[in-house]
Amino acid sequence: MIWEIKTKKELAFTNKPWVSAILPLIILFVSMSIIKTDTFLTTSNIMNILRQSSTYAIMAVGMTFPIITGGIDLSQGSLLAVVAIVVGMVIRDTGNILLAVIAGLAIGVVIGTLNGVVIAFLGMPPFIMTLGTMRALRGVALLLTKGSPIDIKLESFRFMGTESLLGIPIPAYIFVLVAIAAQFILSKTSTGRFIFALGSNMEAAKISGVRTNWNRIKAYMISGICVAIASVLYISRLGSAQPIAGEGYELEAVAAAVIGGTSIVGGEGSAIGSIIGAVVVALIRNAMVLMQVSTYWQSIVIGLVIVVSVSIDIIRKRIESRRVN
Amino acid sequence: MVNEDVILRFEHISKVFPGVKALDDISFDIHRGEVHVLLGENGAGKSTLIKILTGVYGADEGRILLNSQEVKPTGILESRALGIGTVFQENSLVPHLTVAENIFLSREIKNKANLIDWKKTYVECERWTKGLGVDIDPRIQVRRLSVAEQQIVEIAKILSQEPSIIILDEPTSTLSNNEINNLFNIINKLKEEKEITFIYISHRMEEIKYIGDRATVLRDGKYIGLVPDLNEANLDDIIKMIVGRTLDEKFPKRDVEVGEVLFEAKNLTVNKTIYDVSFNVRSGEVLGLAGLVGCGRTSTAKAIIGMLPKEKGKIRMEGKTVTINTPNDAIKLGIGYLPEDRKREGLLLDKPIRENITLPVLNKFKRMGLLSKAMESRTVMEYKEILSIKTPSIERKAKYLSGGNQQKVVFSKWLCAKTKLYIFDEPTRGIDVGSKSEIYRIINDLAAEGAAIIVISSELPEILGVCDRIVVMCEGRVTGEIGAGEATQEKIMKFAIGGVV
Amino acid sequence: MKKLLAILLVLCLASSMVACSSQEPASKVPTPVSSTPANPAPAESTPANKELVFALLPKTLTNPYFVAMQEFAEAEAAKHGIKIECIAPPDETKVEEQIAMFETMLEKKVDAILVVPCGTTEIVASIEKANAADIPVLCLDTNASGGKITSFIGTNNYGGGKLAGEWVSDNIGTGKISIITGTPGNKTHEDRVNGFLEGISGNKNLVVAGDVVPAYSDRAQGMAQAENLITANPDIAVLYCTNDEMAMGAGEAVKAQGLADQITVIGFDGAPSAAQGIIDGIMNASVAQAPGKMAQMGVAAAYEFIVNGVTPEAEVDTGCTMVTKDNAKEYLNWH
Repeated sequence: MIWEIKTKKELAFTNKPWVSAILPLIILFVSMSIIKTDTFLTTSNIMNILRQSSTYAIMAVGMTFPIITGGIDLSQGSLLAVVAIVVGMVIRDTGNILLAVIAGLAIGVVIGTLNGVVIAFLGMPPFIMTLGTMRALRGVALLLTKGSPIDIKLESFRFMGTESLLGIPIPAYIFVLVAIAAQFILSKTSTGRFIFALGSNMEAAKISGVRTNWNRIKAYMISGICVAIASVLYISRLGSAQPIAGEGYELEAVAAAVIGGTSIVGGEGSAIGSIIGAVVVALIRNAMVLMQVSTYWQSIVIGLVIVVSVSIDIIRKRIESRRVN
Repeated sequence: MVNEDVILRFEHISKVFPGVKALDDISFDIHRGEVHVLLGENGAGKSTLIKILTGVYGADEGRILLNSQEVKPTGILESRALGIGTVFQENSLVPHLTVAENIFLSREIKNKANLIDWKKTYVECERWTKGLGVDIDPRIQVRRLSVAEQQIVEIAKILSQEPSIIILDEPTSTLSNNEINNLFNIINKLKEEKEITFIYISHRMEEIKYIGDRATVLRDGKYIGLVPDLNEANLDDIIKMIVGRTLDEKFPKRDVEVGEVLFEAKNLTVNKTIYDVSFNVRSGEVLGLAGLVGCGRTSTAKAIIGMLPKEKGKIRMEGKTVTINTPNDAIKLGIGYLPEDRKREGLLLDKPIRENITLPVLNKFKRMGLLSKAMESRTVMEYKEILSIKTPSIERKAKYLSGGNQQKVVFSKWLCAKTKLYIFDEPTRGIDVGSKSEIYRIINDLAAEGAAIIVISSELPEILGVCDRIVVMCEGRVTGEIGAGEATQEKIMKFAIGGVV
Repeated sequence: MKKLLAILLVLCLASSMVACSSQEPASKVPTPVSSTPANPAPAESTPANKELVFALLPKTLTNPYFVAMQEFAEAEAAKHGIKIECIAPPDETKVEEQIAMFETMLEKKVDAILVVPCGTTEIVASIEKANAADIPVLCLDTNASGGKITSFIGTNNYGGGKLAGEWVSDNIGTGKISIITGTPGNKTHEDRVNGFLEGISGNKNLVVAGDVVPAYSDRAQGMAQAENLITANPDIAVLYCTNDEMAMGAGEAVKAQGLADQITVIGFDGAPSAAQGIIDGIMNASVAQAPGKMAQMGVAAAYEFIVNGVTPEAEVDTGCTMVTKDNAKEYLNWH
């Protein structure tokens, strides 16, 4: 079609947010393959990396939605703990996996909706509201467990987090599926379009008929659901739900999302980019251990990667505007 | 007194951007103490020239002589130091600071202890704003002022720095007639008392004839000619120079059958803003909503579409009473609002044109429950043709379009939504002559197809030329209603200031 | 461009599949490309010829206790020509990170793993992987709750807590006690608390005031919690903290309020800084563990097991002592 030819230029890499994550990913991957070929480039190591990124990856996908609306969800880490604890308790007391998973997902939806409703209808800044939820949920986690972790022994439940299918760990399938579903929502549904619109310019979106309140709530609900999924996988993998689980994970999710090209001011983002961001972070951790670099450097390197990714993003936008003008 | 003394001379200025020659060998003089108008359509090169003068861009060729000395400013601060001040179309005020803080930013009046003397600052402030004929509390945060008031603060800020050349870029587009008169008085005063030279950019023909001395016309980056005496000049001749063709009718003739009453507003009241506003519009009719800036027309529009909460009032569409609490309700009923500030309220600037246009009726572009970009593109391309939106691609982000084209995108949005009642709020603000007539044509076409149209405008000739009937508001109330046949600028003005005709 | 990137990505993934030749455990040739910190890949165990590599994974390296472990481990390792690769998360709550490190060490095919688990249950799955790969796992200081463990070398934390409780009973005898613990739910700290409670259980004149409060093994939080506890119960006689860092913080709080004569501050670990603190009068006592001994015995046991086939004892108690003003000087170094 004629319009396709005309728009090819517009679809160049300057238009895609996840470019800022692909570049570090490729560089890291290629460098590690060269430096440590025999340990890095093995199936089991790569599979480890995929399995290790799964929790952050799913949470980062969830985090992408509130960030696109110009907000943030700081309650993710605490929610991870609460869901894991509830899932653990249900399994411990009833042995019913389905019930446990439903309970976990339900909590994710409820907390997400709570965050969304207060933010949209009361107009509370997302940072503040989710900060409050974060502290409150952490207290709930400690209350429910009285400080002790809940252990899960049920083999059939542990299967999900520990086993592999066709050589690839199940958590990897799950996080890829979640990312695809999320990306689908973002690009192929009205909800996705509305979420981008209200993140880009809330006033203009409102005047164009976008139900901004309802869509903001949806964004936080999706974040909650993603955390719940990540949490079920987490407890399945680790076999134990500690009340301090997930501490600091929300910032990891933000970092992954930002590395993946999601703009912190809103209006732009990609679920695929967010999982790439999470894999990049896991890659860095893996590389540090393989190369015997002290953990103190890990934080420094991850911080640098964030700055580099965002810089790539800024430069990409500048190239785009120069190209247009 | 305008003397022949040349204060500013452009010599063979050229500027090339990738793919386009923005300025091609521009040479002309500006005399000291004159109001020199820069004329040309959007894209003619006026703003590029000004940006070179103020140092934002560097000229590729040629030079600028200020008082016979060559100058090459490298930025706004430098040009300001050279005595050149600019009042922009989009103001440069800091929204969260107060009026006083903005006007005296980095030039604060300090007392002996080297602390800011606020008392003196406020007094100085009021001197400037009152000099422009407006009463603004210097302690108010700028973001709380209306668009018009902000513009005035912007002008006051520049004037308070007492430059030798002042560039005014579309300064009156958000001012009421009173405020415009005040501005012109000040310009004249500054001309006479301080011999300040003005470079004035505007599309408003009547104004420039009144305030301007001479004019330079640019078209497509080239120097077309000089209008040596604006007062005496023939408007048609000037227009011919600008667009290269005569517009025999600035306002296309209308020959439309007006139908039944499509929309009725009864007793619309918004707390402290509008009171008991009632009027109706028929299908095929263009109703003008006139009045001074700030009299409540935009608030009426926003109340109709559900953006502002109504204390009282009923709305009827096609005879049936309807409830509108959100813009979504309004859109479902076929009402579309084109906002006054298209960048802030009308467009998603970093989204592609296509997404902007399809947003209000996104559900129509679904195939099997999923959005179909192909369907969207097909429809959007149609509107691109119909409205002649100039863009190489509908995937281009809205922020890269010129003002006129951005406005067309907003229009397309509402056309796409199959709107029955269009509310256009200042539809031609900041748009060049050529695009303006396109927009009038579009309005006529819409009316011909049976839509009801409300045009809110502060340009009296526009209201008179475009509308069938005119409702005038003053301070939140409807004060008058006239048919286009009997309407005159004087009558409308009288209603607008609250008097009775 | 989009297509180009997609192709590149597929190539990357494909190359990772193809390169699974390194699955075989047969002796590998050290890579010719070795950057400065890295060393050639670890060789398989043939006695005495190839260099052995042991992984040491403490809970964290931001606590001098574990840094001491590293030093002692490296010293012992040097005697046998063993290389120690030591790595740990930034704080002891980062369970997942430690697991990731453990698994990566498995990838490196190290000869043995010595671990102080952050998550005693969570680490089990990873230990089982090591079991399957025939890599011996030893737990130091804190035992895991499952998996095949070649040996657990550590203090019986419960016993150490009991020792402290008995010491309080013998030396203080009467009064209110407030307890500050580390990370809630962590077995190490739980055992120290429970042991302490048993230690004082015989004495009816000793009462625990209020609940056990957490300070996450952090000095600043220890100080804050101590202040709160003193406010809640101005007449307490003893502040028992389940590690030295928190005890030092608590001690500072006590000193700042001028209550050093009234309140006895007890810590756990026997760190040199605590010994100095006892000498300086900031805290009063500590249950000394011997992290150095744990690490040294761990390395030695692993070496004997691998090279000479000697199976170590399933559990080795490295014992603990009360450090007080009398013997503080001896504990200015880690043991």
